[in-house]
Amino acid sequence: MTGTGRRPPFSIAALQAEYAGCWVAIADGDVVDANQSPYDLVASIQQRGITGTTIVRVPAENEPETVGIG
Amino acid sequence: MPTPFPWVFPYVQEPRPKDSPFRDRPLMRPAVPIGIVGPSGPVGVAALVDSGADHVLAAPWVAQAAGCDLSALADIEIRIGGGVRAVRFTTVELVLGPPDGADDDLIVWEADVGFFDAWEPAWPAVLGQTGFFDRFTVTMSRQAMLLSVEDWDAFDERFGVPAAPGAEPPPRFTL
Repeated sequence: MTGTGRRPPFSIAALQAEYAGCWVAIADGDVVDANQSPYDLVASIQQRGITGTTIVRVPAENEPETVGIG
Repeated sequence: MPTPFPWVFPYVQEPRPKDSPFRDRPLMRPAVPIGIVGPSGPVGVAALVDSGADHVLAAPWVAQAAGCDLSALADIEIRIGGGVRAVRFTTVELVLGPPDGADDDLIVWEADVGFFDAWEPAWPAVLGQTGFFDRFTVTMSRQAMLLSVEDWDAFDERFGVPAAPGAEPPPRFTL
């Protein structure tokens, strides 16, 4: 079977110690930029010429668990 | 040769709050990396796959980053989590690639995406029934912590064409 889960599971939880409450840009499994504001994060990675990123938010430590997008 | 379906994506682990009574089990989300393409180009985000949502929805900063001008579009009210939110829909391209990241295997399709005006979801985007589940057959397994994506007609091939509730079958996504 091809293209089936060859990447290790991605863990936002593993990023919380360093990036709690931040939006992070990930490329090839590594955080390449982070910011409290997604607008500033996008501006930063564009300014640095970084492409091919996936952006996601890392919850703060005491942030309530969300259901769906609520 | 394109990467054949199924494309199987591992669930994404989120942290639980420190005082959560559920910390004995991991918080796992079905999510995939997608591109949302506007006039300014693609914005790559991790998108929550939400079978209960009827729409593809995304945060306002994604619209700005993709260069989508929403100023002339009408506000549509959507109730989410008990509250009413204003959303503006526009047609964009969505991009999904196989989990091994082969860039020449990208699938691109058009979808109406609703962008929130004054609210930022915890996830940058949500993939719902119209715009994602009508493009792919999506199978999720909590036991395996995996999500598989196949072409839209895989369901029919597996189970046969389902009976339609109306006189006509529901419109199917076609390219």
